[in-house]
Amino acid sequence: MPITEALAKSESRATDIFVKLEGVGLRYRLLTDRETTLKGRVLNALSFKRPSRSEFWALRNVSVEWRTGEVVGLVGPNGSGKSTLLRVVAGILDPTVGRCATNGSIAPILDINSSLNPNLTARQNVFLYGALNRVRRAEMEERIEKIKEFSELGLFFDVPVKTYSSGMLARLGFSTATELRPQILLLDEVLSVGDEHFQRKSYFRMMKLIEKGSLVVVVSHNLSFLEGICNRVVFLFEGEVRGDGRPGEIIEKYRRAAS
Amino acid sequence: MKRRLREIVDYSEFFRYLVYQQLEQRYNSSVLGFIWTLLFPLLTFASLAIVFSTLNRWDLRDFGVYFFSGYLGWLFFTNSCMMAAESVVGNPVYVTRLRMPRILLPLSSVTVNLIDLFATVAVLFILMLIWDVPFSGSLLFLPISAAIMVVFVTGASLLCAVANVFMRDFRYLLSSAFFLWFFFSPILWKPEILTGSNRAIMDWNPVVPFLLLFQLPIWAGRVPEAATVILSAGAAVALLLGGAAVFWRCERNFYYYL
Repeated sequence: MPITEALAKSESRATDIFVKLEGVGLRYRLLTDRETTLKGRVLNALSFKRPSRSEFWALRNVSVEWRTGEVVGLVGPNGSGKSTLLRVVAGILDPTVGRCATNGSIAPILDINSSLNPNLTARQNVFLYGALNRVRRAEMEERIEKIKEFSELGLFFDVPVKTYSSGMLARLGFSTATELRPQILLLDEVLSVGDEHFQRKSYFRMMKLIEKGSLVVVVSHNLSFLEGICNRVVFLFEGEVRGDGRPGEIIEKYRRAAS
Repeated sequence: MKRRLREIVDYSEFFRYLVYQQLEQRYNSSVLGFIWTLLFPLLTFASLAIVFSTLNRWDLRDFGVYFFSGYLGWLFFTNSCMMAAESVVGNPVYVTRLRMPRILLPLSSVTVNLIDLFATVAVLFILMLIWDVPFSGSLLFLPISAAIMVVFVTGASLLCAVANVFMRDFRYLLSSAFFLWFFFSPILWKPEILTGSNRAIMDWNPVVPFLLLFQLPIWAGRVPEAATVILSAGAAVALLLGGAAVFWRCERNFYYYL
């Protein structure tokens, strides 16, 4: 459903927005043992070499349920499945086992070191982003000035994004995604890059989104930052949920486990 | 299936963007821009015409119309497949960062080449005017030819897109295969010229009926036989349904290969 349409609906049915995972497991087959060329596959078949099957469960039996008004922080060491979990919620990856149900418009996952197309200018990227969210071009024209203003990119707004610093990319991504007011916002390490001024601004904007009935999921290694903005934290370790509850409590648990 | 088709319609704005971007990319920083689309088949024709009209001892005008009417379908088919093969692999961001109907990627490649097809047909008509070749009423059949061709090419392109995700050298294999295939298609010469097993290969060449859909109305000035039309239309629909089924089945694994 296009975001604008969803937005109109959300005013009346704000409580319907949710993310619900039931016993989700996700298995990656590791890239090392797969042949991605025809030549390799034929040679493998001819030599009767059975490809060694190395599998990796990025998520195991994850069951969580998030609702409107929650700002969920995901914590855990590198490789614990945080980003994978975001991808499952976004519908990019299908769970190998279990079920993932979501209701509400979802913006593309934002992460710090990529834009949609680095060769395009920020303005062009915003239009592309709008098209991907099924927002009509005329409407994007109206919103683009607000995005430019919020991101404070100024002259750089019409420069190819490949020349941007990670802070500038984060500004652009966050401004665009939140201007379209998705009901479910997934942020992967975005917020911790901006400077303090921008972080404060983002915080207020996120709060506004939540008041409007959005659900925000944030992945970050900046624990004090998460403690400040989240009202719920999930601690992932080796793909399993090791803790789920109030930020202070869970972050403490994670700190103890990490040390 | 119904849900997926709805989704495609939902994303029409993005689809337009994809097509536009590919057109722009191609003509970006080239002096002649869109004229290249018209110039490429013309240049190919000019070079081949010099060689083959002398070799075949064939009237340049007649050869020109024969060659062009076959070549435009061939160009549409092969270019679409080649571009579609790259369409998913070349745009990992649409697969790994967000959810959208990935089938739009190969479909946009076919659309771009369809625009080229129209341009090539226009060039041919201009040449026919210059050469004073009569326009027969059978040309009215061309929209049907194009429709069948689009269905066929779309099906083939979907399969190429999937194959190239799982086997990255598929694209190179494909371009060599097309090169060989070209010489066993009735484009540079008429089937009668070939003998023995070469002739047999051309007789069983699956792309021939589709090329005839254009060649007969334009060059021979007659509508293709009902059998050719029904056979090619049936095969095209089957290929499209098969291609879409394979694509939709495999797309969930794209992520792991990009």
